Amino acid sequence: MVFAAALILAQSPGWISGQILANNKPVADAVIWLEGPGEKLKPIRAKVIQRDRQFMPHISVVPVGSRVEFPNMDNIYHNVFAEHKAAKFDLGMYPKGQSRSVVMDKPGITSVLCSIHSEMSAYVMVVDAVEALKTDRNGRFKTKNLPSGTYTIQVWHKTLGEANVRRSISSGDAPVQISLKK
Amino acid sequence: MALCMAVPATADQNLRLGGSIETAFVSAKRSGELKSGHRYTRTQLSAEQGAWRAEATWWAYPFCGFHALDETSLQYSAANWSATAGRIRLPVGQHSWDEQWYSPFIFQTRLELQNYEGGKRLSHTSPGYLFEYWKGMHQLQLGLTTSTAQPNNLLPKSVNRAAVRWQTFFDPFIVGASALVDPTDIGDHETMTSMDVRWSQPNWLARAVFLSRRNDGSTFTDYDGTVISTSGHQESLFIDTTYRPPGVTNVQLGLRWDLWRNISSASQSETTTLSLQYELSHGIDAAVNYTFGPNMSDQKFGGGWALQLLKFHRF
Repeated sequence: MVFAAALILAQSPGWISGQILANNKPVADAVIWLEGPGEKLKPIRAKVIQRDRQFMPHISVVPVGSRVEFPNMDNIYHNVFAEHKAAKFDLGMYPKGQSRSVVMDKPGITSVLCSIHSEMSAYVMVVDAVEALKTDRNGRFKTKNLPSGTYTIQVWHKTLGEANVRRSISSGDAPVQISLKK
Repeated sequence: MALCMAVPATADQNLRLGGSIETAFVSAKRSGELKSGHRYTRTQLSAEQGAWRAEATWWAYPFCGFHALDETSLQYSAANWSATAGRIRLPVGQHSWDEQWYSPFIFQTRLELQNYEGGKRLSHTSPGYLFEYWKGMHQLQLGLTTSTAQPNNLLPKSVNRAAVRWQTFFDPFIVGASALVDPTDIGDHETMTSMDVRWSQPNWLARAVFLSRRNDGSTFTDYDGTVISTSGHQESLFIDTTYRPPGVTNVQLGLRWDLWRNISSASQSETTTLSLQYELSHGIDAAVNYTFGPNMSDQKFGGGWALQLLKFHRF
């Protein structure tokens, strides 16, 4: 699939912000992660809830080594399984009020599905990075404070695919604009 | 790798509003004729706070000139039970909306589409009350409703039908048994019994549902003007399986065998359907089916090619 995206990096000391566009339209729920100087993100405990026969959130991003829980909040049985680059597991079937979890220890995208309800799907991006976040409904993002240096900014979107850009970010730099083509 | 733990059964205390609009367009043979156009739109709104949930659903089915309130109810949920009042799906067989409607198969099974006593179908909702209780691996449902309701009644004036369902699982199987009893004169002494099983594995899902129905006898006029007798003893069985190729999240293949047998008149009808569903993008699915059968007397239940485009939007 061919698309064009632009990263507009407005950089004041310590943080990076921008917007992801495709065909001049903002791209919501794109995953952004940065590799570069600084301390890498530590593993967290994340939740992907099963409620109203859907996984919520539909797209998550977690640091490598994180434990992701899948609580069942519906009155029906659910199953959780995944088969992708970063993880392959089957957590089995369980009823309301129970939760099962998995440690995601390989970077990459994982599609999570329910073998009982084919309409349910979610994506978990596992990253080995200094910062990771998702774009908002306007395609915008803003990182935490980061040290100056050269960063590789990577972008993933469910339908648009993946792209990465190397940028040198220093304190006081003027905003930069990046166009991506795939 | 997996860790089993308990989570709070009730939702958080913040008001949570949601909804969805689902629209389908179809081209398929029904009642012996090829029809194309707007199949259905289902609009659902919900509000949830703490243990309470209110839901309103409107279902328009232009393909067959039908529209009605769908699942519209007020529900209270505790840790291991819930009570619902309003329009409910009777807990007979695999009865939830997505079990019936969201699959690679464009049309529902014969046991869901069949007109039963009073012209009612299992696929439609009924005004009444639903009680659910679950403990460990077991789930029990009791539905109380009426046989004299109109499509837009929210609550029954009187209760004269009861359906009960028990369900349990032992991974990778879910098995269930259901029964419907209509003991009053109004409902012509109708009874149904059903057994069902589901087997699921990553990429595979297989289901089978058997239903047996007995009725003392009544006739009614169907929406297309056909006078139908509901008396006698009928049995229905379907078996279907769906397969999602490993690593391909947007494609599903399906195969279904659907049998309807009228024991009283010694006649039967069966169909076999091949299906392919393709997710074009998030919330937009296309499906193509080919159905072998049924015989001539049952052409209202389709046959041949069917195409559907489904758009689903949650908010």
